[in-house]
Amino acid sequence: MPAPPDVDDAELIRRILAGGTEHFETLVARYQTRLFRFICRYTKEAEDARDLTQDVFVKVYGALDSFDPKYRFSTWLFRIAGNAAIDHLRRRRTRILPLELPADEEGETRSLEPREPRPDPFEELTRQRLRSVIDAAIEKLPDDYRELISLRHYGELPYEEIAELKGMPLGTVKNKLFRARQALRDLLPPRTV
Amino acid sequence: MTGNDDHPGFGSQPEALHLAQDRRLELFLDEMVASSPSLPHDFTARVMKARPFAPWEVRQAGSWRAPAAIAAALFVSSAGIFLAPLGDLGPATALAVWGNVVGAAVARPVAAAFSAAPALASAVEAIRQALSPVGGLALGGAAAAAAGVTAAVLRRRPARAPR
Repeated sequence: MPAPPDVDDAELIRRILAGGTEHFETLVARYQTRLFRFICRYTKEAEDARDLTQDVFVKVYGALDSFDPKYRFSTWLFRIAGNAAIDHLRRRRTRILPLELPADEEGETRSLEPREPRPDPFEELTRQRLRSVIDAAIEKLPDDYRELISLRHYGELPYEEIAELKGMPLGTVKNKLFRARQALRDLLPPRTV
Repeated sequence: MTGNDDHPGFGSQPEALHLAQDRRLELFLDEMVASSPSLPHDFTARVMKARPFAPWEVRQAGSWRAPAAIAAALFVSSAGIFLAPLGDLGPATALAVWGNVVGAAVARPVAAAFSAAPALASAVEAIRQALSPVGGLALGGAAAAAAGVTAAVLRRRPARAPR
């Protein structure tokens, strides 16, 4: 039976290591969305990010006994995820997919169709464009700013956890994130925000 | 969402306008991230299914339930074989029967392997005669490659903990 939502990560891990492996489900459910969005920032492709998110959880499960409860589980998890995402980017080769499928028997080309129709295509398109504008702006940020933005806004980590993860004083993290957002704002087209 | 946290304090106090702009950008980022692609509904179940048997699970009592049950069943069966003739035939016969059963269980596979050795040798000889030199070389190469791969797999270090 999954643990109640108020059980903290360290206690969940203790229970898992004591034999209650089903509690891992609670941990996954707790972090999966944030981790996926964080990884998505690196991979840019949702499909790759889904696979990588699963791989990270599987790795974490295998190494759960090496987790040091002195630290937060989230910082350990996001550190592993960051390393996995960077490894993935190193390994990834450029994959070019044609927008059109090969011609059928009658010689007509077929376009790729989205799997699920969206309820409001215009709104979705606007959001997609905005997301790509933001992604492009984030890409132009210096590495440390980009990582902090990813951890804070895509991984939704509190400042304290980012400080622990990066080994920086809390004030430095806050200051750098403020400057990172300033730099990001300067890179966005006027009136985007 | 991250936009609701307390805003950081700074050494040099930025202007109110900058703070307001920063807050707006935070909310905007959060909104954009929230509307980004999501995971499938059964993602948690997929992860649970994809989990391998972790090395630390060896230390859990629960992991040993099935092997322990099999061992117990074998032991009970063995004891049953010993005890069944005890009442009718006496302890000496029961012990002899049990000894024979255990002996056969252990020795028969070895004996079978020994008895198969001549047949194996004649099979190898038949193959050798039937094979052309090129075929022999190809087979030898494949055997060497398989041995190499097996050695590499056996020498592989255990998976490292994630960085």
